[in-house]
Amino acid sequence: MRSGLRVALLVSALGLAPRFATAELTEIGRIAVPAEIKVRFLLVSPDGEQLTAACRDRKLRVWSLPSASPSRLLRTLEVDGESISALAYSHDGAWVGASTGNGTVAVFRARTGEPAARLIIGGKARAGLRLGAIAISPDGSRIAVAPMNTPPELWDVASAKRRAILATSFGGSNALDFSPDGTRLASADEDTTIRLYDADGGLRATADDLPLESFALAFTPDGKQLVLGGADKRITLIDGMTGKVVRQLPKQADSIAWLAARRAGGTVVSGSFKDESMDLPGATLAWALDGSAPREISAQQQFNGGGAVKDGRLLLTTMAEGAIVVWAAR
Amino acid sequence: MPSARLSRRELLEKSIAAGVASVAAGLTPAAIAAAWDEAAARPRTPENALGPFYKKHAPDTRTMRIAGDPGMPLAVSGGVFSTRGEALPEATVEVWHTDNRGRYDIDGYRYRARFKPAAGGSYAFDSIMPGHYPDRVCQHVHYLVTAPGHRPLVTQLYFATDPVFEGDPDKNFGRDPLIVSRELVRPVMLVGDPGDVHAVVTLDLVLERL
Repeated sequence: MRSGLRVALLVSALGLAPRFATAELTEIGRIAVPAEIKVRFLLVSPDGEQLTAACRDRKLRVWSLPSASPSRLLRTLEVDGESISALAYSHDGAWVGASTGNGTVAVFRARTGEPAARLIIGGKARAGLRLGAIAISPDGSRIAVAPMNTPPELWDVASAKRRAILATSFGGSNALDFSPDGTRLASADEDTTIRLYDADGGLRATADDLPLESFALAFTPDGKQLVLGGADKRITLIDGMTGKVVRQLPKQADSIAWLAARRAGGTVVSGSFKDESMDLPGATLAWALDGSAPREISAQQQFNGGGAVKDGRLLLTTMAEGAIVVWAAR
Repeated sequence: MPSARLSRRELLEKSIAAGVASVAAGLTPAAIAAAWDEAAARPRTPENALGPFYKKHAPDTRTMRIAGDPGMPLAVSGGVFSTRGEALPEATVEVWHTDNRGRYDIDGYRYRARFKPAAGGSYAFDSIMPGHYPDRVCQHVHYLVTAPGHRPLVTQLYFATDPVFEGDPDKNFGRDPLIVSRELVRPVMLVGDPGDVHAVVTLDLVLERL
């Protein structure tokens, strides 16, 4: 959550130790962030090799993640437009993109930082055209964006032209994801419906039996299922082709804000927030998709940008005073 | 107000055919109907964000307040119209808001309702004054209004008495960055006895044709 960072920073500033519920979570490194750089939110690449930070100066900063050697700043990428509103990697980690608060999108080759595309949604940058979510197809040829309060759109990167306006009954979309093979696009829409499209934006299936909004969705690594989480405080699995509900996992105490299913095998990690406020972090949980109860990773720490699995460990990140903290959970 | 089931043009044509209206030479019924529509046009109600806690299948009721509910009783009313000024009794109005402590009922349907306007397009509901949701600056009531042949309207109602405005909503409505239009901040009339004060607010809902 955008303002969740404030909570994490406050925890750090007060010198409070995070109260982790399990002993399996260990800090594996800190990335020093100079005082003049204000990090807004983070995203770990699907292969766990790098970390991209959306910064207040409208730049992306990409660090290597600590492994055998310490982290280092790999590159700084320029993003035109107002403040960065969303980040996304493609499923294979080949592409990274950012959207902004005035309708612009920038896409880069993740491993080199080479600019791949710049799009202006609607043809002209407009104040207030906040793009709340983006998704990049694995081949980098398509980008889906979610303008605030209006239906999501599918864009062609090579021609910089819009291919389709995707349907909603009302409102916009909270989350978008391409299937790992790039043949399908899923949207979690504010009208509570999950919609499945083909790569050209043709509607193929809907799941409209959820009464509350899903805030996050992610295809499973095999692309067969779609994992949903949101205000109903539970994980729902739907068929990745038909949209039919396959399974709902046990309901928890907090609304689910983000999900990470990529390369995590049969496990999904969720971050959450309390009913009282979206600023109050709830539990971070690891869910086995077979339907058993989830395992708590942390009761109240606000992770952001985590979820990638590397060397059998789940990588998660938090903000601290002057640093990004990288955690690993087994 | 003409019948909602008859368009202005149909009404005019019917009146001419029945001899109860006549048109001067050089004027066509279509031109007159267009001028009539223009004169009656109403601006679309400003849109506002849907918010994160919309819930489908709200109960069909106009009474969300239960006796003993904490919070000042609130009565909201208005009309549902098209931008041509026609009443839309076939619309469906959904409203939802927090309790007086600022919490949405996510597990159930407290302070959530859906209903149809009356034949003339008027609507009314009873509830309580919502509290301040911690992530929002101002008290608010969410609306989703749908009607056949019209663009859905997603908006929010705010209260001029909200302490955030410090008595001057004209000057201070921008303190909530989500309030996109001063028009959505409505005057509040306090009525009743000193021991039983109700807040009364009006908001018309104007939908754009598809």
